[in-house]
Amino acid sequence: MPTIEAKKLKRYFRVFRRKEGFIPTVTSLFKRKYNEVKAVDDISFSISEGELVGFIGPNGAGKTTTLKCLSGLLYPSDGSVKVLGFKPFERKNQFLKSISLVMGQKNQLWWDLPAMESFRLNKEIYDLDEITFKKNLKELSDLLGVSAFVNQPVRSLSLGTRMKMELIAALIHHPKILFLDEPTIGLDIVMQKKMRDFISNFNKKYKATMLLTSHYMADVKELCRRVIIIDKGKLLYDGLLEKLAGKYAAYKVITAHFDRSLDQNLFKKFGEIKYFAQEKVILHVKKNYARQVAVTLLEKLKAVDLNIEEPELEDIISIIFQKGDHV
Amino acid sequence: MYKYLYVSKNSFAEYMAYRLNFILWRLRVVISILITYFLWLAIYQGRQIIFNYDKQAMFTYIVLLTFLQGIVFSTQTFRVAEEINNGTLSNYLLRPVNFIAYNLFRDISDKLINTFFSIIEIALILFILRPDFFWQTDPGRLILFMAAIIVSTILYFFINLTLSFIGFWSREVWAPRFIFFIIVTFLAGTYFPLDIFPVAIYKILELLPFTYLIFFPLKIYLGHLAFPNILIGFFISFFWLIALYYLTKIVWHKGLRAYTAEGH
Repeated sequence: MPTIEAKKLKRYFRVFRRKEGFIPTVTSLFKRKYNEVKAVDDISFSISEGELVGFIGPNGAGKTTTLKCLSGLLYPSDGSVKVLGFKPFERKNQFLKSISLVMGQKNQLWWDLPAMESFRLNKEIYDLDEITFKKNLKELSDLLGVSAFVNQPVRSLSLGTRMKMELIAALIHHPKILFLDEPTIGLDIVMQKKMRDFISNFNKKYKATMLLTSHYMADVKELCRRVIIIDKGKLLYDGLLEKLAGKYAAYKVITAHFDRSLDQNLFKKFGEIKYFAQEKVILHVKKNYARQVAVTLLEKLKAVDLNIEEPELEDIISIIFQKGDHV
Repeated sequence: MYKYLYVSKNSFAEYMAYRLNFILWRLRVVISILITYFLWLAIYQGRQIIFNYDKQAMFTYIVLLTFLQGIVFSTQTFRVAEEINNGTLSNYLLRPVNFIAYNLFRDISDKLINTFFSIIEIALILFILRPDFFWQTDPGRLILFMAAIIVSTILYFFINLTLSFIGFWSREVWAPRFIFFIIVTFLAGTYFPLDIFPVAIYKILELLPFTYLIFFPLKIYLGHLAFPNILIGFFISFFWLIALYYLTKIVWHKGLRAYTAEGH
Protein backbone atom coordinates (compact mmCIF):
# COMPACT_ATOMS: atom_id res chain seq x y z
CA MET A 1 0.00 0.00 0.00
CA PRO A 2 1.44 3.38 -0.94
CA THR A 3 1.86 5.80 1.96
CA ILE A 4 0.35 8.69 0.07
CA GLU A 5 -2.07 8.25 -2.76
CA ALA A 6 -4.00 10.81 -4.76
CA LYS A 7 -6.44 9.65 -7.40
CA LYS A 8 -7.95 12.12 -9.83
CA LEU A 9 -7.75 14.75 -7.14
CA LYS A 10 -9.60 17.96 -7.91
CA ARG A 11 -10.03 21.07 -5.85
CA TYR A 12 -11.89 24.03 -7.27
CA PHE A 13 -12.36 27.39 -5.59
CA ARG A 14 -15.09 29.89 -6.11
CA VAL A 15 -13.54 33.30 -6.26
CA PHE A 16 -15.51 36.48 -5.93
CA ARG A 17 -14.88 38.72 -8.90
CA ARG A 18 -14.71 42.36 -8.08
CA LYS A 19 -14.64 45.14 -10.61
CA GLU A 20 -12.98 48.46 -10.02
CA GLY A 21 -14.85 51.68 -9.46
CA PHE A 22 -17.53 52.93 -7.16
CA ILE A 23 -20.70 51.75 -8.87
CA PRO A 24 -19.56 48.17 -9.44
CA THR A 25 -18.52 48.08 -5.76
CA VAL A 26 -22.01 49.10 -4.68
CA THR A 27 -23.80 46.74 -7.05
CA SER A 28 -21.54 43.94 -5.84
CA LEU A 29 -23.24 44.27 -2.48
CA PHE A 30 -26.37 42.83 -4.04
CA LYS A 31 -25.20 40.72 -6.87
CA ARG A 32 -21.93 38.93 -6.90
CA LYS A 33 -20.20 37.16 -9.69
CA TYR A 34 -17.98 34.27 -8.99
CA ASN A 35 -15.28 32.65 -11.02
CA GLU A 36 -14.35 29.06 -10.63
CA VAL A 37 -10.64 28.52 -10.22
CA LYS A 38 -9.34 25.04 -10.83
CA ALA A 39 -6.50 25.03 -8.34
CA VAL A 40 -5.96 21.30 -8.62
CA ASP A 41 -7.44 19.63 -11.64
CA ASP A 42 -7.30 15.87 -11.89
CA ILE A 43 -3.98 14.93 -10.37
CA SER A 44 -2.95 11.37 -9.53
CA PHE A 45 0.24 10.13 -7.94
CA SER A 46 1.41 7.82 -5.23
CA ILE A 47 4.35 7.95 -2.87
CA SER A 48 5.84 5.07 -0.93
CA GLU A 49 7.21 5.02 2.57
CA GLY A 50 10.45 6.87 3.13
CA GLU A 51 10.43 8.66 -0.20
CA LEU A 52 11.43 12.31 -0.39
CA VAL A 53 9.62 13.81 -3.33
CA GLY A 54 10.00 17.31 -4.72
CA PHE A 55 6.86 19.09 -5.77
CA ILE A 56 7.57 21.75 -8.33
CA GLY A 57 5.50 24.34 -10.08
CA PRO A 58 5.26 28.09 -10.58
CA ASN A 59 3.21 30.30 -8.28
CA GLY A 60 -0.42 29.30 -8.33
CA ALA A 61 0.29 25.90 -9.85
CA GLY A 62 -1.68 24.15 -7.12
CA LYS A 63 1.17 22.81 -5.00
CA THR A 64 0.02 24.23 -1.70
CA THR A 65 -3.58 23.31 -2.42
CA THR A 66 -2.51 19.71 -3.01
CA LEU A 67 -0.55 19.67 0.25
CA LYS A 68 -3.58 21.07 2.06
CA CYS A 69 -5.77 18.32 0.64
CA LEU A 70 -3.23 15.71 1.68
CA SER A 71 -2.99 17.04 5.22
CA GLY A 72 -6.75 17.24 5.71
CA LEU A 73 -7.21 21.00 5.68
CA LEU A 74 -9.17 21.11 2.48
CA TYR A 75 -12.06 19.02 1.37
CA PRO A 76 -11.34 17.69 -2.13
CA SER A 77 -13.89 18.79 -4.73
CA ASP A 78 -13.55 15.44 -6.42
CA GLY A 79 -11.33 12.39 -6.55
CA SER A 80 -9.79 10.66 -3.58
CA VAL A 81 -6.83 11.04 -1.30
CA LYS A 82 -5.45 8.40 1.03
CA VAL A 83 -2.64 8.98 3.46
CA LEU A 84 -1.51 6.00 5.56
CA GLY A 85 -4.84 4.50 4.63
CA PHE A 86 -6.76 7.42 6.16
CA LYS A 87 -8.93 9.90 4.38
CA PRO A 88 -7.18 13.09 5.48
CA PHE A 89 -10.30 15.25 5.68
CA GLU A 90 -11.80 13.00 8.34
CA ARG A 91 -8.95 14.17 10.55
CA LYS A 92 -8.78 11.04 12.71
CA ASN A 93 -6.47 11.49 15.68
CA GLN A 94 -4.33 8.57 14.58
CA PHE A 95 -3.79 10.28 11.23
CA LEU A 96 -3.07 13.71 12.69
CA LYS A 97 -0.54 12.24 15.09
CA SER A 98 1.43 10.84 12.15
CA ILE A 99 1.65 13.92 9.96
CA SER A 100 2.91 17.44 9.99
CA LEU A 101 2.58 20.31 7.57
CA VAL A 102 5.41 22.79 7.70
CA MET A 103 4.83 26.10 6.01
CA GLY A 104 7.19 28.99 5.71
CA GLN A 105 4.68 31.49 7.01
CA LYS A 106 2.82 29.33 9.47
CA ASN A 107 2.58 30.21 13.12
CA GLN A 108 1.27 27.88 15.74
CA LEU A 109 3.40 29.27 18.56
CA TRP A 110 1.78 31.37 21.26
CA TRP A 111 3.04 34.81 20.41
CA ASP A 112 3.38 36.19 23.93
CA LEU A 113 4.74 33.09 25.60
CA PRO A 114 8.12 31.38 25.45
CA ALA A 115 8.28 28.78 22.68
CA MET A 116 8.75 26.17 25.39
CA GLU A 117 5.11 26.62 26.46
CA SER A 118 3.93 25.84 22.95
CA PHE A 119 6.19 22.79 22.80
CA ARG A 120 4.83 21.57 26.11
CA LEU A 121 1.29 21.99 24.86
CA ASN A 122 2.18 19.93 21.82
CA LYS A 123 3.71 17.33 24.10
CA GLU A 124 0.27 16.96 25.68
CA ILE A 125 -1.58 17.11 22.39
CA TYR A 126 0.55 14.40 20.83
CA ASP A 127 0.65 12.28 24.00
CA LEU A 128 4.42 12.22 24.25
CA ASP A 129 5.98 10.96 27.43
CA GLU A 130 8.44 13.21 29.20
CA ILE A 131 11.52 11.23 28.08
CA THR A 132 10.59 11.18 24.40
CA PHE A 133 9.65 14.84 24.55
CA LYS A 134 12.95 15.86 26.13
CA LYS A 135 14.92 13.72 23.72
CA ASN A 136 13.15 15.04 20.62
CA LEU A 137 13.31 18.60 21.83
CA LYS A 138 16.99 18.43 22.60
CA GLU A 139 17.79 16.84 19.29
CA LEU A 140 15.79 19.36 17.28
CA SER A 141 16.90 22.45 19.15
CA ASP A 142 20.56 21.42 19.10
CA LEU A 143 20.39 20.66 15.43
CA LEU A 144 18.81 24.00 14.66
CA GLY A 145 20.98 25.81 17.19
CA VAL A 146 18.20 27.48 19.14
CA SER A 147 18.46 25.81 22.57
CA ALA A 148 19.30 29.15 24.17
CA PHE A 149 16.09 30.82 23.04
CA VAL A 150 13.36 28.37 24.03
CA ASN A 151 12.51 30.30 27.18
CA GLN A 152 12.15 33.69 25.51
CA PRO A 153 8.76 35.05 24.51
CA VAL A 154 8.24 34.25 20.85
CA ARG A 155 7.49 37.84 19.92
CA SER A 156 11.01 38.87 20.94
CA LEU A 157 12.71 36.36 18.63
CA SER A 158 14.19 37.16 15.24
CA LEU A 159 12.36 35.90 12.16
CA GLY A 160 14.87 33.13 11.51
CA THR A 161 14.84 31.90 15.10
CA ARG A 162 11.08 32.00 15.16
CA MET A 163 10.86 29.88 12.04
CA LYS A 164 13.18 27.33 13.59
CA MET A 165 10.93 27.27 16.66
CA GLU A 166 7.93 26.71 14.40
CA LEU A 167 9.78 23.83 12.83
CA ILE A 168 10.51 22.30 16.23
CA ALA A 169 6.85 22.61 17.19
CA ALA A 170 5.87 20.91 13.94
CA LEU A 171 8.33 18.04 14.34
CA ILE A 172 8.35 17.42 18.07
CA HIS A 173 6.13 14.36 17.63
CA HIS A 174 8.36 12.88 14.92
CA PRO A 175 5.72 12.63 12.19
CA LYS A 176 5.87 9.70 9.81
CA ILE A 177 4.77 11.98 7.03
CA LEU A 178 5.95 15.49 6.45
CA PHE A 179 4.56 18.02 4.05
CA LEU A 180 7.03 20.83 3.63
CA ASP A 181 5.79 23.94 1.88
CA GLU A 182 8.65 26.27 1.03
CA PRO A 183 10.65 25.31 4.10
CA THR A 184 13.60 27.49 3.18
CA ILE A 185 11.72 30.63 2.20
CA GLY A 186 13.12 33.75 3.80
CA LEU A 187 16.19 32.03 5.20
CA ASP A 188 19.72 33.16 4.47
CA ILE A 189 22.04 30.99 2.38
CA VAL A 190 23.78 29.39 5.35
CA MET A 191 20.51 28.60 7.01
CA GLN A 192 19.03 27.24 3.79
CA LYS A 193 21.89 24.80 3.61
CA LYS A 194 21.41 23.82 7.24
CA MET A 195 17.72 23.33 6.70
CA ARG A 196 18.38 21.08 3.72
CA ASP A 197 20.80 18.96 5.70
CA PHE A 198 18.26 18.77 8.45
CA ILE A 199 15.47 17.63 6.12
CA SER A 200 17.72 15.06 4.49
CA ASN A 201 18.79 13.72 7.88
CA PHE A 202 15.28 13.55 9.20
CA ASN A 203 14.22 11.64 6.12
CA LYS A 204 17.01 9.07 6.43
CA LYS A 205 17.05 8.72 10.17
CA TYR A 206 13.33 8.27 10.73
CA LYS A 207 12.34 6.90 7.33
CA ALA A 208 9.89 9.76 7.14
CA THR A 209 7.93 10.16 3.94
CA MET A 210 8.25 13.70 2.69
CA LEU A 211 6.70 15.84 0.04
CA LEU A 212 8.48 19.14 -0.43
CA THR A 213 7.68 22.22 -2.45
CA SER A 214 10.24 24.86 -3.10
CA HIS A 215 11.08 27.70 -5.40
CA TYR A 216 14.75 27.12 -4.82
CA MET A 217 15.90 24.52 -7.27
CA ALA A 218 18.92 23.99 -5.05
CA ASP A 219 16.58 22.48 -2.46
CA VAL A 220 15.11 20.07 -4.94
CA LYS A 221 18.41 19.18 -6.59
CA GLU A 222 20.05 18.37 -3.34
CA LEU A 223 17.21 16.55 -1.66
CA CYS A 224 14.94 14.80 -4.08
CA ARG A 225 15.50 11.87 -6.39
CA ARG A 226 11.97 12.04 -7.61
CA VAL A 227 9.99 15.11 -8.64
CA ILE A 228 6.39 15.81 -9.45
CA ILE A 229 5.86 18.85 -11.62
CA ILE A 230 2.51 20.56 -11.87
CA ASP A 231 1.27 23.67 -13.54
CA LYS A 232 -2.20 25.23 -13.66
CA GLY A 233 -3.49 22.36 -11.58
CA LYS A 234 -2.35 19.68 -14.02
CA LEU A 235 0.38 17.14 -13.58
CA LEU A 236 3.17 17.58 -16.11
CA TYR A 237 5.86 15.18 -14.98
CA ASP A 238 6.27 12.51 -12.35
CA GLY A 239 9.55 10.68 -12.28
CA LEU A 240 13.23 10.73 -11.49
CA LEU A 241 14.93 14.08 -11.42
CA GLU A 242 17.87 12.80 -13.46
CA LYS A 243 15.61 11.74 -16.29
CA LEU A 244 13.99 15.12 -16.50
CA ALA A 245 16.71 16.63 -18.67
CA GLY A 246 16.68 13.69 -21.03
CA LYS A 247 12.99 14.06 -21.52
CA TYR A 248 12.51 17.76 -21.85
CA ALA A 249 15.75 19.46 -22.75
CA ALA A 250 16.54 19.18 -26.44
CA TYR A 251 20.08 20.42 -25.96
CA LYS A 252 23.25 19.82 -23.99
CA VAL A 253 25.59 22.36 -22.55
CA ILE A 254 29.13 22.23 -23.88
CA THR A 255 31.84 24.26 -22.20
CA ALA A 256 35.17 24.50 -23.98
CA HIS A 257 38.48 26.17 -23.02
CA PHE A 258 41.19 27.14 -25.44
CA ASP A 259 44.79 28.17 -25.01
CA ARG A 260 44.34 31.05 -27.43
CA SER A 261 41.71 33.64 -28.35
CA LEU A 262 39.30 32.60 -31.06
CA ASP A 263 36.74 34.45 -33.08
CA GLN A 264 33.19 34.18 -31.79
CA ASN A 265 31.87 33.63 -35.30
CA LEU A 266 33.63 30.30 -35.44
CA PHE A 267 31.12 28.82 -33.03
CA LYS A 268 27.88 30.11 -34.52
CA LYS A 269 27.27 27.05 -36.65
CA PHE A 270 27.46 24.66 -33.66
CA GLY A 271 24.53 26.02 -31.73
CA GLU A 272 23.49 28.83 -29.47
CA ILE A 273 26.35 30.72 -27.87
CA LYS A 274 25.50 31.30 -24.25
CA TYR A 275 28.77 32.73 -23.11
CA PHE A 276 31.89 33.87 -24.86
CA ALA A 277 35.12 35.27 -23.48
CA GLN A 278 38.37 35.11 -25.31
CA GLU A 279 39.42 31.61 -24.30
CA LYS A 280 36.17 30.12 -23.07
CA VAL A 281 32.87 29.38 -24.72
CA ILE A 282 29.61 27.89 -23.48
CA LEU A 283 27.30 26.47 -26.12
CA HIS A 284 23.81 25.03 -26.13
CA VAL A 285 24.00 22.29 -28.71
CA LYS A 286 21.20 20.09 -30.01
CA LYS A 287 21.41 16.71 -28.33
CA ASN A 288 22.04 14.75 -31.50
CA TYR A 289 24.94 16.92 -32.51
CA ALA A 290 26.57 17.14 -29.11
CA ARG A 291 29.03 14.34 -29.72
CA GLN A 292 29.94 15.54 -33.16
CA VAL A 293 30.40 19.15 -31.99
CA ALA A 294 32.58 17.99 -29.14
CA VAL A 295 34.81 16.08 -31.53
CA THR A 296 35.09 19.06 -33.83
CA LEU A 297 35.93 21.37 -30.94
CA LEU A 298 38.62 19.06 -29.71
CA GLU A 299 40.20 18.08 -33.01
CA LYS A 300 39.73 21.05 -35.31
CA LEU A 301 39.79 23.90 -32.83
CA LYS A 302 42.17 22.21 -30.41
CA ALA A 303 40.19 22.79 -27.26
CA VAL A 304 42.33 22.11 -24.19
CA ASP A 305 39.42 21.29 -21.96
CA LEU A 306 35.87 20.29 -22.74
CA ASN A 307 32.82 19.47 -20.75
CA ILE A 308 29.39 18.16 -21.80
CA GLU A 309 26.56 18.60 -19.31
CA GLU A 310 22.82 18.44 -19.00
CA PRO A 311 21.22 21.86 -18.74
CA GLU A 312 20.62 23.41 -15.31
CA LEU A 313 17.46 22.31 -13.55
CA GLU A 314 16.14 25.88 -13.58
CA ASP A 315 16.41 25.94 -17.36
CA ILE A 316 14.66 22.62 -17.81
CA ILE A 317 11.87 23.69 -15.54
CA SER A 318 11.33 26.91 -17.41
CA ILE A 319 11.25 24.97 -20.68
CA ILE A 320 8.56 22.74 -19.26
CA PHE A 321 6.48 25.63 -18.01
CA GLN A 322 6.81 27.50 -21.28
CA LYS A 323 5.44 24.53 -23.11
CA GLY A 324 2.64 24.44 -20.58
CA ASP A 325 -0.22 22.12 -21.40
CA HIS A 326 1.32 20.80 -24.57
CA VAL A 327 3.72 18.50 -22.80
CA MET B 1 -7.95 15.81 28.99
CA TYR B 2 -4.74 17.19 30.42
CA LYS B 3 -3.92 18.78 27.09
CA TYR B 4 -6.95 21.03 27.37
CA LEU B 5 -5.98 22.08 30.87
CA TYR B 6 -2.64 23.04 29.40
CA VAL B 7 -4.52 25.24 26.94
CA SER B 8 -6.17 26.99 29.89
CA LYS B 9 -2.82 27.42 31.56
CA ASN B 10 -1.18 28.93 28.47
CA SER B 11 -4.16 31.14 27.85
CA PHE B 12 -3.88 32.38 31.41
CA ALA B 13 -0.20 33.19 30.97
CA GLU B 14 -0.99 34.95 27.71
CA TYR B 15 -3.60 37.03 29.45
CA MET B 16 -1.08 38.17 31.99
CA ALA B 17 1.09 39.51 29.20
CA TYR B 18 -1.48 42.23 28.60
CA ARG B 19 -2.13 43.60 32.04
CA LEU B 20 -3.03 47.14 31.06
CA ASN B 21 -5.55 45.94 28.54
CA PHE B 22 -7.11 43.79 31.20
CA ILE B 23 -7.21 46.52 33.84
CA LEU B 24 -8.91 48.90 31.41
CA TRP B 25 -11.44 46.24 30.50
CA ARG B 26 -12.31 45.73 34.16
CA LEU B 27 -12.52 49.49 34.61
CA ARG B 28 -15.08 49.60 31.82
CA VAL B 29 -17.14 46.98 33.64
CA VAL B 30 -16.98 48.88 36.93
CA ILE B 31 -18.01 52.14 35.26
CA SER B 32 -20.94 50.50 33.55
CA ILE B 33 -22.18 49.00 36.79
CA LEU B 34 -21.85 52.36 38.55
CA ILE B 35 -23.88 54.05 35.81
CA THR B 36 -26.63 51.46 36.14
CA TYR B 37 -26.52 51.74 39.91
CA PHE B 38 -26.91 55.52 40.00
CA LEU B 39 -29.54 55.44 37.29
CA TRP B 40 -31.72 53.11 39.33
CA LEU B 41 -30.95 55.05 42.49
CA ALA B 42 -32.47 58.11 40.81
CA ILE B 43 -35.46 56.14 39.56
CA TYR B 44 -36.17 54.80 43.02
CA GLN B 45 -36.13 58.29 44.51
CA GLY B 46 -39.12 58.40 46.79
CA ARG B 47 -40.52 55.08 45.57
CA GLN B 48 -40.47 51.70 47.15
CA ILE B 49 -41.42 49.32 44.37
CA ILE B 50 -40.96 49.64 40.63
CA PHE B 51 -42.13 46.91 38.25
CA ASN B 52 -42.60 44.59 41.21
CA TYR B 53 -38.97 45.00 42.24
CA ASP B 54 -38.16 46.62 45.53
CA LYS B 55 -34.93 48.52 45.90
CA GLN B 56 -33.14 45.62 47.53
CA ALA B 57 -34.03 43.14 44.80
CA MET B 58 -33.12 45.58 42.05
CA PHE B 59 -29.73 46.45 43.53
CA THR B 60 -28.95 42.84 44.19
CA TYR B 61 -29.82 42.17 40.56
CA ILE B 62 -27.47 44.89 39.34
CA VAL B 63 -24.57 43.87 41.56
CA LEU B 64 -24.81 40.17 40.75
CA LEU B 65 -25.05 41.07 37.08
CA THR B 66 -21.37 42.01 37.18
CA PHE B 67 -20.52 38.68 38.69
CA LEU B 68 -22.51 36.78 36.08
CA GLN B 69 -21.16 38.76 33.18
CA GLY B 70 -17.65 37.87 34.30
CA ILE B 71 -18.47 34.19 34.11
CA VAL B 72 -20.94 33.98 31.26
CA PHE B 73 -19.93 36.71 28.84
CA SER B 74 -16.14 36.66 28.99
CA THR B 75 -14.88 34.75 26.00
CA GLN B 76 -12.11 34.47 23.48
CA THR B 77 -14.30 32.97 20.79
CA PHE B 78 -14.31 36.20 18.78
CA ARG B 79 -10.78 35.21 17.84
CA VAL B 80 -12.11 32.19 16.01
CA ALA B 81 -13.58 34.23 13.15
CA GLU B 82 -10.24 35.95 12.77
CA GLU B 83 -8.45 32.62 12.84
CA ILE B 84 -10.70 31.28 10.12
CA ASN B 85 -10.21 34.31 7.92
CA ASN B 86 -6.46 34.56 8.19
CA GLY B 87 -5.94 30.83 8.01
CA THR B 88 -4.44 30.27 11.46
CA LEU B 89 -7.28 27.85 12.06
CA SER B 90 -5.12 25.40 10.11
CA ASN B 91 -2.83 25.17 13.12
CA TYR B 92 -5.60 23.55 15.12
CA LEU B 93 -6.87 21.39 12.29
CA LEU B 94 -3.45 19.85 11.78
CA ARG B 95 -3.15 18.68 15.34
CA PRO B 96 -5.15 16.00 17.13
CA VAL B 97 -7.24 18.41 19.18
CA ASN B 98 -10.96 18.90 19.40
CA PHE B 99 -11.36 22.50 18.35
CA ILE B 100 -14.56 23.04 20.32
CA ALA B 101 -12.99 21.68 23.50
CA TYR B 102 -9.85 23.71 22.81
CA ASN B 103 -11.93 26.87 22.73
CA LEU B 104 -13.90 25.98 25.79
CA PHE B 105 -10.72 25.57 27.80
CA ARG B 106 -9.21 28.70 26.35
CA ASP B 107 -12.32 30.45 27.60
CA ILE B 108 -12.15 28.92 31.03
CA SER B 109 -9.02 30.82 32.02
CA ASP B 110 -10.66 33.96 30.70
CA LYS B 111 -13.68 33.29 32.84
CA LEU B 112 -11.67 32.46 35.93
CA ILE B 113 -9.70 35.67 35.75
CA ASN B 114 -12.75 37.79 35.10
CA THR B 115 -14.73 36.12 37.86
CA PHE B 116 -11.91 36.59 40.33
CA PHE B 117 -11.76 40.29 39.61
CA SER B 118 -15.50 40.74 39.53
CA ILE B 119 -15.69 39.31 43.05
CA ILE B 120 -13.16 41.86 44.25
CA GLU B 121 -15.08 44.64 42.50
CA ILE B 122 -18.36 43.52 43.98
CA ALA B 123 -16.81 43.45 47.44
CA LEU B 124 -15.58 47.00 46.93
CA ILE B 125 -18.93 48.19 45.61
CA LEU B 126 -20.76 46.60 48.53
CA PHE B 127 -18.27 48.10 50.94
CA ILE B 128 -18.19 51.63 49.53
CA LEU B 129 -21.74 52.22 48.26
CA ARG B 130 -23.42 49.98 50.81
CA PRO B 131 -26.44 49.22 48.63
CA ASP B 132 -29.26 47.24 50.14
CA PHE B 133 -28.04 43.75 49.19
CA PHE B 134 -30.03 40.56 49.52
CA TRP B 135 -28.07 37.56 50.80
CA GLN B 136 -29.58 34.29 49.69
CA THR B 137 -29.09 31.76 52.46
CA ASP B 138 -31.08 28.76 51.24
CA PRO B 139 -28.43 26.22 50.17
CA GLY B 140 -30.86 24.58 47.73
CA ARG B 141 -31.35 27.82 45.84
CA LEU B 142 -27.65 28.59 45.90
CA ILE B 143 -26.87 25.21 44.35
CA LEU B 144 -29.54 25.73 41.68
CA PHE B 145 -28.13 29.22 41.08
CA MET B 146 -24.66 27.71 40.46
CA ALA B 147 -26.10 25.02 38.20
CA ALA B 148 -27.97 27.64 36.17
CA ILE B 149 -24.75 29.61 35.76
CA ILE B 150 -22.92 26.59 34.39
CA VAL B 151 -25.72 25.94 31.91
CA SER B 152 -25.83 29.57 30.81
CA THR B 153 -22.06 29.67 30.38
CA ILE B 154 -22.13 26.74 28.02
CA LEU B 155 -25.17 28.12 26.20
CA TYR B 156 -23.41 31.41 25.58
CA PHE B 157 -20.26 29.59 24.50
CA PHE B 158 -22.12 27.68 21.79
CA ILE B 159 -23.98 30.79 20.61
CA ASN B 160 -20.71 32.68 20.29
CA LEU B 161 -18.79 29.91 18.63
CA THR B 162 -21.52 29.43 16.04
CA LEU B 163 -21.50 33.17 15.35
CA SER B 164 -17.75 33.07 14.85
CA PHE B 165 -18.15 30.26 12.36
CA ILE B 166 -19.79 32.79 10.04
CA GLY B 167 -16.16 33.45 9.20
CA PHE B 168 -16.17 30.33 7.05
CA TRP B 169 -18.53 32.01 4.59
CA SER B 170 -17.92 35.69 5.04
CA ARG B 171 -15.09 37.96 5.95
CA GLU B 172 -17.54 40.35 7.55
CA VAL B 173 -18.08 38.80 10.94
CA TRP B 174 -17.66 41.81 13.12
CA ALA B 175 -20.92 43.57 12.27
CA PRO B 176 -23.30 40.62 12.74
CA ARG B 177 -21.50 39.77 15.95
CA PHE B 178 -21.83 43.26 17.29
CA ILE B 179 -25.54 43.52 16.52
CA PHE B 180 -26.12 40.09 17.92
CA PHE B 181 -24.23 40.95 21.08
CA ILE B 182 -26.43 43.98 21.68
CA ILE B 183 -29.59 41.97 21.12
CA VAL B 184 -28.38 39.13 23.32
CA THR B 185 -27.35 41.34 26.20
CA PHE B 186 -30.70 43.06 25.97
CA LEU B 187 -32.71 39.84 25.80
CA ALA B 188 -30.63 38.23 28.51
CA GLY B 189 -31.66 40.90 30.95
CA THR B 190 -28.46 42.86 31.40
CA TYR B 191 -30.12 46.24 30.98
CA PHE B 192 -33.09 45.51 33.21
CA PRO B 193 -34.94 42.45 34.52
CA LEU B 194 -37.00 40.83 31.78
CA ASP B 195 -40.26 40.59 33.76
CA ILE B 196 -40.57 44.35 33.36
CA PHE B 197 -41.87 43.50 29.90
CA PRO B 198 -45.62 42.94 29.38
CA VAL B 199 -46.59 39.38 30.20
CA ALA B 200 -47.23 38.40 26.58
CA ILE B 201 -43.71 39.38 25.53
CA TYR B 202 -42.19 37.88 28.63
CA LYS B 203 -43.86 34.56 27.83
CA ILE B 204 -42.14 34.54 24.45
CA LEU B 205 -38.80 35.52 25.95
CA GLU B 206 -39.09 32.60 28.33
CA LEU B 207 -38.89 30.25 25.38
CA LEU B 208 -35.70 31.81 23.97
CA PRO B 209 -32.26 30.71 25.13
CA PHE B 210 -31.12 34.26 25.96
CA THR B 211 -33.34 34.52 29.01
CA TYR B 212 -31.32 31.73 30.59
CA LEU B 213 -28.00 33.50 30.22
CA ILE B 214 -28.45 36.09 32.96
CA PHE B 215 -32.04 36.62 33.99
CA PHE B 216 -32.91 33.06 34.95
CA PRO B 217 -29.98 32.43 37.32
CA LEU B 218 -30.52 35.80 38.97
CA LYS B 219 -34.19 35.10 39.52
CA ILE B 220 -33.28 31.85 41.21
CA TYR B 221 -30.89 33.69 43.50
CA LEU B 222 -33.46 36.33 44.34
CA GLY B 223 -35.92 33.61 45.26
CA HIS B 224 -38.55 34.95 42.90
CA LEU B 225 -39.16 31.63 41.21
CA ALA B 226 -41.13 28.75 42.64
CA PHE B 227 -39.56 25.31 42.24
CA PRO B 228 -41.88 24.14 39.45
CA ASN B 229 -40.93 27.26 37.49
CA ILE B 230 -37.26 26.60 38.11
CA LEU B 231 -37.76 23.09 36.81
CA ILE B 232 -39.42 24.34 33.64
CA GLY B 233 -36.62 26.86 33.21
CA PHE B 234 -33.99 24.15 33.45
CA PHE B 235 -35.96 22.02 31.05
CA ILE B 236 -36.05 24.77 28.42
CA SER B 237 -32.40 25.66 28.88
CA PHE B 238 -31.38 22.01 28.59
CA PHE B 239 -33.34 21.81 25.39
CA TRP B 240 -31.43 24.80 24.03
CA LEU B 241 -28.17 23.40 25.29
CA ILE B 242 -28.62 20.25 23.25
CA ALA B 243 -30.02 22.09 20.23
CA LEU B 244 -27.16 24.59 20.20
CA TYR B 245 -24.58 21.88 20.70
CA TYR B 246 -25.78 20.13 17.57
CA LEU B 247 -26.12 23.38 15.69
CA THR B 248 -22.53 24.28 16.56
CA LYS B 249 -21.31 20.88 15.42
CA ILE B 250 -23.25 21.00 12.16
CA VAL B 251 -22.11 24.52 11.33
CA TRP B 252 -18.54 23.53 12.20
CA HIS B 253 -18.57 20.55 9.86
CA LYS B 254 -20.25 22.49 7.07
CA GLY B 255 -17.77 25.27 7.62
CA LEU B 256 -14.78 22.97 7.33
CA ARG B 257 -15.94 21.93 3.90
CA ALA B 258 -16.02 25.54 2.86
CA TYR B 259 -12.72 26.33 4.57
CA THR B 260 -10.06 27.49 2.14
CA ALA B 261 -7.08 27.84 4.50
CA GLU B 262 -6.34 31.17 2.88
CA GLY B 263 -3.23 33.16 3.51
CA HIS B 264 -1.22 30.12 4.43
